Amino acid sequence: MSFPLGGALLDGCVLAVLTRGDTYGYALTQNLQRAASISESTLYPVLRRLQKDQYLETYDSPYAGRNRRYYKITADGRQKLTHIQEEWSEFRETINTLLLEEGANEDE
Amino acid sequence: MNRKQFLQDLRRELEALPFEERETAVTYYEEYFDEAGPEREQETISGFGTPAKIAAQLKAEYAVNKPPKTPKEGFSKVWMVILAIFAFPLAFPLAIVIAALIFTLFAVFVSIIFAFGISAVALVLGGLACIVGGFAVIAASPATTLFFVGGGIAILGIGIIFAYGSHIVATKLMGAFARLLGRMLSRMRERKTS
Repeated sequence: MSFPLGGALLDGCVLAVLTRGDTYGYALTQNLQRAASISESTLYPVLRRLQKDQYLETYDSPYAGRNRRYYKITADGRQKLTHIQEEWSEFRETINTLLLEEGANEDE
Repeated sequence: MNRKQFLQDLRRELEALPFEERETAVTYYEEYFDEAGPEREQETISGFGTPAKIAAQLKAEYAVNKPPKTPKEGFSKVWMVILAIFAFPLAFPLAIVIAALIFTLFAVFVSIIFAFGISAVALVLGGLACIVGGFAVIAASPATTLFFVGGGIAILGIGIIFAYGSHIVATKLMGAFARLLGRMLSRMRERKTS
């Protein structure tokens, strides 16, 4: 079972994968599909939006006689990622408390 | 459907977008096919969904990303988002509620724009009437002519400013409407899929 991935969380995952190296659309999709149920066409609008917000930039590199468009995270993108990571940590704790009852007894 | 057909359809569906926006999108999907390889072509196409649906989402994103420059552009952006909303698989009763909501909002926005526009028209016509009326009595009373022509020009000026203002108001309101609908759409999308 996998949980739906969208919104800020998906943005964060895309940015996080890009901190480990530049990559292209297909590889990025395959990479994320291993962890979450996203369709093949989910990523393009996300990448385009992140690019417009200047969180990432693109460059073309020839591969096997054609072009591959690589995505690269920017300094703004790293900042955005840090922000999403902080938000996620808070959210995760809330969910853990609710779902796994971690630390629930301490509140009583 | 094969790869060629898919890309052709996608390009046609994206016709409303500027050239660069459209080609960047088509290139991405083209490249994706290349990476997946010919043996995974069918699988890739079914993973993508229909070109119409992809296009609807891209157009909606484009529409809310940049504020429009003219009321006409604003209107076409609003229309793009509305089409994207109804490209969504919706239960029939919900679709009716959403259609009614959009129609109501649309009526409100258009009424505000219309009120501004009609005020501008009234001021301009009123101003012109004063000027014409002023000249009509020039033989009887030149002072009256002066009064009316002066007043008429002032009213005409206000009317022109109003006309210009209502142009801005219409542009801004259409932009705001497109963004509002865009937020509605992303809510729907987050709930349903992703």
